[in-house]
Amino acid sequence: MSESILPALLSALDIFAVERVEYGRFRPLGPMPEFSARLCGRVCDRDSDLVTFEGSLFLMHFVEEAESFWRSPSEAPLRSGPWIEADDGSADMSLEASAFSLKERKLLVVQALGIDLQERQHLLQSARESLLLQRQLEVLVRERTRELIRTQEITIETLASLTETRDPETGGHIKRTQNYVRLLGEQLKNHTRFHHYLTDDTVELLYKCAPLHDIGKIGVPDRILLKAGSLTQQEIQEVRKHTQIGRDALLVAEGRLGSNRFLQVAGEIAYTHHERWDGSGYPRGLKGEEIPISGRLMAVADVYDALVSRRIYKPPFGHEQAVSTIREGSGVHFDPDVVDAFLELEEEFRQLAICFADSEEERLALVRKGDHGVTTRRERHAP
Amino acid sequence: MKMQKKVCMIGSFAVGKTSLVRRFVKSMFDEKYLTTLGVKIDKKIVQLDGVDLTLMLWDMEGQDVYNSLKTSYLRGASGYLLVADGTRRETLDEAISLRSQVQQAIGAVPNLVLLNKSDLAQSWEIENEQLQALLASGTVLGRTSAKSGEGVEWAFMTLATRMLEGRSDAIPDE
Repeated sequence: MSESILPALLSALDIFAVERVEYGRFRPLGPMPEFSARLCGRVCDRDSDLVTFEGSLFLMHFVEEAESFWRSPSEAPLRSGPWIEADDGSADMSLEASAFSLKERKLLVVQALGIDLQERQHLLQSARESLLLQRQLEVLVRERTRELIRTQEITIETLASLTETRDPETGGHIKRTQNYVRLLGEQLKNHTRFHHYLTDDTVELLYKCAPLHDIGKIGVPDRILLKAGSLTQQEIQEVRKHTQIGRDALLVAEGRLGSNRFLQVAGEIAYTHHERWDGSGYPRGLKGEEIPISGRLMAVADVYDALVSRRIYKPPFGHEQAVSTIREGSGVHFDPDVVDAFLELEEEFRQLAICFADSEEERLALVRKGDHGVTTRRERHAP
Repeated sequence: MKMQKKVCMIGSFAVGKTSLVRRFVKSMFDEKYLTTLGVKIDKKIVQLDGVDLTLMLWDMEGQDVYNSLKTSYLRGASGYLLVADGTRRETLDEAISLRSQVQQAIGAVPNLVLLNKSDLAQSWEIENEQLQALLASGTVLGRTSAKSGEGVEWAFMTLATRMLEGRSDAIPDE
């Protein structure tokens, strides 16, 4: 490239080049553009003797770095990276400097980045604004999801508490049974027969659905639900309808909402928690694995809780008697593997029952060792 | 007596580094986010214990997936401010991670961790437990708002004091 073209090219590219003469002092190698005045702290031109860069803190810093580079130069130039030269009263300017060593000459080139940098900045700005927006949306979605979950939980609690107000026997039954179900789910989630179903999410879902297992009792007349004496066969049949009523109510809700796993599982539990492993349960007389896992877990939780709680027709049984009853029900009333899980967890069941007991009488019965309580029991309704 | 110290502003993108410098140097604030590309240097002279101290403030481009910390900008720094956005909890983790990189590059020079945007209390995401853990490990922490000015003067002056005292802020084992 001829000498005459080079200055014009440098000028067109908004570049200037200088050669180091001594520490911090440089000789211009071509025309010095207007912006160089900012860096030099004075107007420079090609004929200027020597220039310094006292006007630019950044460039002074880079020149120090370049001194080290020139002492042991490499083929690749030392690049400063972009910097913004600010000056009160005039627009910011983006620049980049590079130090070279050519044939033992120490060279410094400074380029105004202009439009290139503006484009890069524009792209970066858009990308970062998108990241911020994406994050804001994620936060919003998280908040809305939390609100929905909370609404769902409150709705369930409210619905479940309706049953409690109708049936004075239940008390803390809902709280206890949902915790028992979670204990069983956690215990069985690694079991070969259950791990396909009992994921962490499903166990949590069972915990949330369990309070609705007796929601159908709302449809049982007060004269039967609140009756102090024995129930007739017809009344027993009426009570047993609560499984169907509960399932139907949840089905209607699902029909309006569309497919919803919560309502499906809640309906399944309400419908099947009185089925028995040997097929003698109700409402459909399902047998063995025909009974959904959710219903099998709920059955153990429900029966244990009924046994250790006071009912109109019986005092609370002691924990050991309740355990014994559940053990005897293995393979008859209950899934044997669920009973095994229960037996491994029986102390935790007892602690939960004590924690959420409705009365001191129940708590004492649970604390007393070897107390088999009162063994007579009239058949009434659930379980 | 006159002295000059280089201070680097370090942190994730959009945490408010440029706004903090602007508030400290020019007492101004602009709501609009404008990303910094490369580095921008400002200066402010403060009087401290009879010293006219010129703070050279290197406002460095924020770190993110598009841009990692450029350690050559750090050379000669006497101290640095690690800025996090209190409404984006991950920016505090990033600041702590950057602190390790900075210490590797320039050693244990004075530094402060600033939780910026304290005016946005409704959206605050940083838990007290996290702050307690940092304080317990010897980190100097401050809450700032470039918008309201809260804590800004304190942050720069505290760092200036520590630099003049020649403190060595080694990072605790993390």
